[in-house]
Amino acid sequence: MQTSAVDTETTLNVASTAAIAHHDEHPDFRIFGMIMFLLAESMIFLGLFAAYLTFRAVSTLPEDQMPELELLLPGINTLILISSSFIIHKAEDSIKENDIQGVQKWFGISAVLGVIFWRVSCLNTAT
Amino acid sequence: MTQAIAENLPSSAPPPEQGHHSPTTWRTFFSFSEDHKVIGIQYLVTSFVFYLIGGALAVGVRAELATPEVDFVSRELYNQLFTVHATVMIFLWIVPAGTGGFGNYLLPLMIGARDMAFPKLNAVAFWMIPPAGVLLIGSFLVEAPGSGWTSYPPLSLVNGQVGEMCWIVSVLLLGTSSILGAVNFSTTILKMRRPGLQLTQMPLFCWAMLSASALILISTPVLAGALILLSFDLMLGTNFFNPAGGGEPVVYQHMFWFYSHPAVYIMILPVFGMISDILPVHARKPIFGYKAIAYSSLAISFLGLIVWAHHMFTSGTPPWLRMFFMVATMIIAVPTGIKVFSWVATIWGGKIRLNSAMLFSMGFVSMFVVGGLSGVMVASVPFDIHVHDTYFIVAHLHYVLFGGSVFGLYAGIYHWYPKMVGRMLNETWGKIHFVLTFVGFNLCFMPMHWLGLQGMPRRVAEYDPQFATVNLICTIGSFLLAISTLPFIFNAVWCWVKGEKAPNNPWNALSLEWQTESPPIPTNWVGEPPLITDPYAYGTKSGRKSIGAIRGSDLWAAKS
Amino acid sequence: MNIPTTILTLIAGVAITLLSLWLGQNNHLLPIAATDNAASVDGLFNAMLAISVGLFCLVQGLIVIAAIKFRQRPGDETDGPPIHGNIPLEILWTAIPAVLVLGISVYSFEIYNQMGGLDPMNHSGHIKPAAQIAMQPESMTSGLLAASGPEASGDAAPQPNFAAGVGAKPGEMAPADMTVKVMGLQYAWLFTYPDTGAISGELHIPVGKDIELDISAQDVLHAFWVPQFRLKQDAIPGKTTQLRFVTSVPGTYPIVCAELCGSYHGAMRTQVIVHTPEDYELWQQSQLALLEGVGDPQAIALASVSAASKTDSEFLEPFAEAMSMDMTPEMIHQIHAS
Repeated sequence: MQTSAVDTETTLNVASTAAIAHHDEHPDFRIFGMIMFLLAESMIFLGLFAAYLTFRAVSTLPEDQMPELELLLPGINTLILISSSFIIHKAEDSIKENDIQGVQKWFGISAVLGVIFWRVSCLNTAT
Repeated sequence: MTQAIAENLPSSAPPPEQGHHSPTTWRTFFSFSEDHKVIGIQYLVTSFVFYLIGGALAVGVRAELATPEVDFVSRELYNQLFTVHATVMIFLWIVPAGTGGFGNYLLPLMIGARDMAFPKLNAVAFWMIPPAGVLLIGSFLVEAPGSGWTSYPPLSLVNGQVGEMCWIVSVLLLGTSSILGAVNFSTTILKMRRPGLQLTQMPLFCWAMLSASALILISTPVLAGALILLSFDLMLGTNFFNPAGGGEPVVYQHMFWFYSHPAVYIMILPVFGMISDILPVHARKPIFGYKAIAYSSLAISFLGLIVWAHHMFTSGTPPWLRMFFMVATMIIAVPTGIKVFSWVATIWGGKIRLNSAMLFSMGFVSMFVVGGLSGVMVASVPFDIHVHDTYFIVAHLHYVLFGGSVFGLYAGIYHWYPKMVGRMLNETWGKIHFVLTFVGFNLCFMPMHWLGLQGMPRRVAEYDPQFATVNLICTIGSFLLAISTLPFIFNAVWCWVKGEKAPNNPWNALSLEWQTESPPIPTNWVGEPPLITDPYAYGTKSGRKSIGAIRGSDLWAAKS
Repeated sequence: MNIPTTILTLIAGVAITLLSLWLGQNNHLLPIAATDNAASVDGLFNAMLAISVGLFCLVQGLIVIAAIKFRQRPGDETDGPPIHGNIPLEILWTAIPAVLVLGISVYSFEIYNQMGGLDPMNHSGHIKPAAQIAMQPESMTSGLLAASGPEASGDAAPQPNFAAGVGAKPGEMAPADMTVKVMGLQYAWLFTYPDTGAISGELHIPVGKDIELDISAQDVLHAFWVPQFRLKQDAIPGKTTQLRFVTSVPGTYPIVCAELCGSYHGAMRTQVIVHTPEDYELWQQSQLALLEGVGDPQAIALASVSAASKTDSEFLEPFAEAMSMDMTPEMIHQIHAS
């Protein structure tokens, strides 16, 4: 196995660099792969939702004793969780643009949301 | 030409790492190698070791069943033996060998890629398997799981926490590994094909892997969901599946089989693909009905997702649901039949080389047909009510998974061993291996049909003495099966070291993986891989020409 | 010597057809059919077997003939003819299996309907849990079987959950002639006869009567299977599943647990005795006499197996010997305690 210093980025006449380039010469498919992985993982939740609906459907509890799905507090927390990724994404963008204030702002918002999330979780488990 | 390619490159492509270019030694196979060929062989050897362990457990099971009484092992140990046997064979042998082993080794070679789309992820996926396997097998030292590989609650909730948790964690790890592998396979097939290679020009194995990957991605996470809920019930005292606390055990069965029925297709689809690629080579004829075989893989993949409740015809499911799943299950016979008839038509009229790879392939078709036909029978609700959870099912599933998947895996090993190792396997030993396996297999599993019909339930350590003789025959068959692995192991190990050197294309095959060295260099090809638009062009002049004449560079230039 | 291929093919086709049809009728693979519906299921099985044998012989024959006729001759390194496909042929072998499975589906549907599998199962006789819990034998059984399962916990219990099994024949509106409660527990079956209040470890039923089994489980999943009836139904804790059938042949048949239920799963067997009407009358009389004499179903159950004075180890002996065993409540307690 010979090695060579030829830059694979600029020349892909593979015949001359064959022995070096191993698996680095293809476009970046990480986004594609990640989307596929996320689709797969969403099946976990699809399965759990289906199970939840079935549990409700076959439950022997009388109508009035059936526990209601809590919507308000978990809903707020879900919103916080989802928005947090956008906020961190904004913060990252700011880092790339050397915008210190922007970073502070977005991290600050993120911290505030974190505290709210924690408080809501406490409330939720307490009840 | 170079520009056209360079445009596709990400600006931050990492520089080639030096570590990968040292020659492949035995040490490489114990390293965190990112070479798909190394990983493929790692998968194959690891899963084969687990196959031997799972086989040893099966011999334990059969030894216990040699007599109607409980005399060889205790009842508890017996339940653990068949539980771990099934889990090992499914999650640590057929799935990793079929998808992980052959998928990793062959896919990039077949589509003209230099590696998988995500080499690091690939290595991570492989290295999740040994710890999961050790955890599962190691549980025998403490307390092995004993609720069957289905692990139905409430039994799995009362059978011992330690063993059950070992099982859950192990299966979760293996499932994750399988999902990561599937992400890799599907991205590689869809995105990494050599420029100019159409989907409908790929070898059929790639189609099969695409279908299997789709199944893994859709169904495996649901099993993960079920196992997470089960572990909550087990460890945290929730009552999702525990009827004593108002839970619903049947929901677990639905979630479990939503994965575990597709799992059957995850185990058989790659083997379908391998057989479609092996038969034309040794029969010297083009595959019969390429598109029908390719699309029937997708059809099986889709139908495989909507038939799971046929495992639950006696679980108190509503009547309309049973009828729906019965019809859906029966329909799967159609795409499967297309494949079988196409294979037969492929070898019909050829110039058949009756070597070990071909014998195992033909054995595969024969045995799989038996499993497929009994599969249609058990799809019928009134009949399934009689044979569900009996030895008829045991016979059926082994005809599909042993007579099907395992015969196919053996065929694949005999066929691609020269490419992987660079040495030929010994044909005489191969044929001895085939005969022993074929006889042992049928001796072991054919009589089980009768046992089930007559009234022997599965998963029992003791049984009605009227079944003693037939069970003894099955046990003898299983011992023969155990012995049949010896010539194979001897052959594979001996030829790895001392076998006759293999030429680059010993079978004179047309598909892309044979148009390189044996074993291939780390970059798979010197220069661009050739473009093969018809990997099955046996007997045609153009097919012959396309390989020698058209070099990859021609097409790359044309594209720019 | 030189017979045309068409004639050979025709002969082979006829031979395979005859073989399949003969095997479909004379396979003797199933045990005797002791209910009316079991015979119908056998008919379905025989039809499917005939089709399977035919298809198997076809495929296997082609493979074997190909292996012999088209094997590589020494020195022949050429390829076979480049045939890539044949659309009419492919349509044919897509259509034939499609028609076959459709036919089998319709046939199965018919048989299943005839068996009562499509009965929505919630017919009038069924939703009366409160009344039954209040009834004498029922509540005593419950007390006997250690508190577990919704039926055992008295009036606070949630409404029992019904799941489908095999119900009444289509058009049959009347309740069954006789109902038996079946309880599966590790590792025995317990049968309660609401008509008399008797409890037994074996199932006694009269021949020719419309029998309904209400199947439940106490601890884990079990499955009630009588091979000779071709009937199987999971016993699920917290639910009641139903099997309804009419027996046709008196005799003694095994009852087998078909769902893995623990280490003694293989030993969880008992038998069903299908009596002639006179014999059943006698058996019922003996049970009634016992009931009057002792007035306690638990004692009856004990008496019926005459094992009341055994020690723990003696009780567990049947497990070790494994094959047929009867059940007493005390054994249940012991197994649960151990």
